[in-house]
Amino acid sequence: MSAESAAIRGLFSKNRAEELGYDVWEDFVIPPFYDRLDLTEARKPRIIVGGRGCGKTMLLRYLSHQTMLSQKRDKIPEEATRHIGLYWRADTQFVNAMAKRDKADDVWESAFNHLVALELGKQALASLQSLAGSACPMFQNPDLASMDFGRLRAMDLALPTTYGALCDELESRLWHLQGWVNDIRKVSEPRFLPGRQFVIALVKVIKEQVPALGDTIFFVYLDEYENLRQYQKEIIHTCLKHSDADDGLIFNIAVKRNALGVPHTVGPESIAQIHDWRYHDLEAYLLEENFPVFAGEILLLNLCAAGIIARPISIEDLRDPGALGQRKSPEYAKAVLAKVRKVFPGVSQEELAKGVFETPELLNRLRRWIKRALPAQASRSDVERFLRPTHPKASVIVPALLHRSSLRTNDVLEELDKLEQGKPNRFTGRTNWIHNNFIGCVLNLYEPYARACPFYAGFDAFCGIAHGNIRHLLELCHKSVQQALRDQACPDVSMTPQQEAEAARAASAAFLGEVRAFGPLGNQLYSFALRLGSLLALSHKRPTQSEPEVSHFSIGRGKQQIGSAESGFLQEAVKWSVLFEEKLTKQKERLRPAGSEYVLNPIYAPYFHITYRKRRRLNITSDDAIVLIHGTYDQVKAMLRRYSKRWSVDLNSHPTLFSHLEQEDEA
Amino acid sequence: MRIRMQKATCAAGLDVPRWDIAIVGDILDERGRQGVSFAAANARQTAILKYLPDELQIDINGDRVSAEQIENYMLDNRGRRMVLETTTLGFVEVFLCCRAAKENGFGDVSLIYVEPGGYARPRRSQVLHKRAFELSGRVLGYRSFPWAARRLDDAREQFVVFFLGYEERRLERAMEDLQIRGERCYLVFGVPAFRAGWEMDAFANNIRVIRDRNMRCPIRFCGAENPASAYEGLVEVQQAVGKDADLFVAPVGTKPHGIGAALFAAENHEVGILYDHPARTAGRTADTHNWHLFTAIF
Repeated sequence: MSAESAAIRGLFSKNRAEELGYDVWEDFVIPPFYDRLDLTEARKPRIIVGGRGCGKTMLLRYLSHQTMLSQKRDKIPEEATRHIGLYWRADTQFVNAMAKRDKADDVWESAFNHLVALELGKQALASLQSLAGSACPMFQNPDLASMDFGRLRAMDLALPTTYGALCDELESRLWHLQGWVNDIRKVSEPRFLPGRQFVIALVKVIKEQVPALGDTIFFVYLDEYENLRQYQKEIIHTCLKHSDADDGLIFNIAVKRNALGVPHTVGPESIAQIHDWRYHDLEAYLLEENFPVFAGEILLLNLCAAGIIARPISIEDLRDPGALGQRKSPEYAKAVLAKVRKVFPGVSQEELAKGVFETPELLNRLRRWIKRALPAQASRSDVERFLRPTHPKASVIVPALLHRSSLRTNDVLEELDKLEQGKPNRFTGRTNWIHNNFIGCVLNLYEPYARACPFYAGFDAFCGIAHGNIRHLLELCHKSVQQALRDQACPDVSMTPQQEAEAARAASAAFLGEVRAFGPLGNQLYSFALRLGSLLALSHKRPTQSEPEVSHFSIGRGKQQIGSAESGFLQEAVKWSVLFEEKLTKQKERLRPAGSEYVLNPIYAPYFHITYRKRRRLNITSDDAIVLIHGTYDQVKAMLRRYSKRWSVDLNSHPTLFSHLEQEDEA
Repeated sequence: MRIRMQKATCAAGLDVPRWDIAIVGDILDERGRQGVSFAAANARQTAILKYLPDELQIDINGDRVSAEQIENYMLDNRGRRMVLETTTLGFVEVFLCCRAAKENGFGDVSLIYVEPGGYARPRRSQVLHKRAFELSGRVLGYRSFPWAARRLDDAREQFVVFFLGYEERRLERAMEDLQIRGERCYLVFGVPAFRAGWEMDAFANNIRVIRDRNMRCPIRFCGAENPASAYEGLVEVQQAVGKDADLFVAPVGTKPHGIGAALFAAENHEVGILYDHPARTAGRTADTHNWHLFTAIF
């Protein structure tokens, strides 16, 4: 394999921060919301919230000393030495064993505090090494050797005083702690260091002895906090509550949505928002701040780093917080989008419609559907009257219109004629049948067809499907490249819409498969996603397309009430981004209290052959919601059958999604 | 350690000694029922053992104690002959028993395993099936337990040996939750499988995760029914990675592979174990196939 083809093959394949290591200087693009993180003024802890793949870990690693003081930086700005980040991802499989086992709770609390002291102490010391190895002239390796940590002996007389020896000692104590946790009956109990107090003391010693860090605040960035045991979380809450810039140490945590739980501390107080911390929702920020431009910049950086394209934009600007303003200009956005759309071309609705006319199988299906919607005595020539090659979009939605009892066959023909003659008509204008129905009708035409629908193709579609999730976007692009390589195309790195659509379907199936690994309820979440996806897919198959593109649902009153088990499950689905929870919009029942609506993550849309756009809502009863969440298979089957009857959907014509309903009848 | 292996098409074909104690687990299917019945019939007394991962405890004959206290049970029974009915015992129970037995003067331990006649295997097609719509079992996830708690630390040189079965989500969950680097893994498939062709399920299901996670790592093959081969494979990997590296084993494949891994970890205390504690479901297998009697001689 040539170097170039290897580079193409590996394009966008590293879509997890952990694959990039701790120094992400070359891979990180300053996000558009960066100035909202109040980094320069921050004197309170931050809670960074977002689903899997939205860039939490990448951001934390960027803010940490390994990146901010990276050897890859030609110049270290003073700013970087005033905020030193200490990244810690607690090994949650290990800390699970730090509980019970015939030891008192306070022993485990002390042991976990000891772990905090050792892990963060090591990071604080490592940050000095980063500083000494960086381009910062204010602190060099000989300065490390001259440091004296003797004051820490107030906490433990056995602690060494020199830098190297202290690093080794903390490492050795970690091994001892590990050995003790592994076998608490045979290994002697370690002498525990006092967690946060130890780190504060260490920070003080550092600030006293390194003049360049005199005004520095050390920021702890704790990743994967949600997987800690409850008492461990409470210790972290206490650290958050008592974070004080005057101590030079502020704790921050990254969590999935809904994963914070009850913010108790180990003391009698709890922690409250604003007063105790700042809350940053990365996904919300990304969606508010023109996600496509940021996504485009990341893709262009990857293409450029792989040597596939020449520098299309200034790479330096992507790493410079000061250049954010310029990157938000409309001209810049336009240029980025134009370049990335060239690599990942999409298909306009007009082209989608033309594609139906140019593909015999799809055109014949359209003919069959028109015939099925016409009175029984309709002839072939009658069908042809509805196909207008000069107006393919209008032709595609004809079957849906003919299925509507409110419209007569002649009404539709008359409107088609008016459209062709350029007169006011209902296909366009205020009624705009095309706008409302086209995508639903195209998806329906493609559903039984082996090829993926190009509706899912192109950079803009990918951004909609990814919904602020960088990992999903990169995987969609990576799979497109793989698809193109399979077709032996791609040397100029420009995909075809068909390759992109196939890639979207493959990525969607892969991400759906991952759901089973989402926490303790992974299996149930997977079944739920299949059940909900099937229901939405069923809705898309309505012959009338009276409610096209149903993408989300709300829960109304039924015989049974939604209980804590169901609410807890929905929260879990939101935590793992299987669902997005949003405030109810456009309530038809005006007196109903405001509530939530739930959107199935659009990454699963290509798998179910449904829209990725947030369009229409399905109002289901609490009884149906309960069936979706934990009903038996027979209840699910009955529910899907009930909806298929209500919507006049023929299940037999959709073998991929609904064959199991028929199999059960045969069994 | 040596592992002796016997195999027969039925229980009567095995040459068994008279045991003093049979330790068995929960019966979930026909082979479990037959395995427990056979072990109990050939032992003076039977104990039912279950590990409770949330509590880090064991339940032995209804008494709940901290998992390490399995040592007390072994000390009380020192000098007696013991068989573990591993068709019904989970991996953690097998490991705790083997380690406690080895550390407390047992010269050997017997292990019975009954192969399934058939699995309720997920079918490999794009079409959705009823089974996918009714999954509900809780999975605790990767949680360490006594004698197997080691820190994962990507700043250190650490390697993980995965014994894989057909449940690819177990590999996927490990890669997702533990953030293990793909190039630091060894993947072991059970080849030959219990039945010709079953290995294709393991390949087909796991390949998606291997590809999606960019796992460019060595792949090895050990007979699905052969714990000695699994044990020897681990010895080879241990030598290959060197003494300075940390070694973890993730036995998420066949039970005989789990037995090999349990015996290896019982002997090598510095080895970490990554295990996801799946809730085993009743009726997952049908009927019985070959019977195995393994004897671990410490």
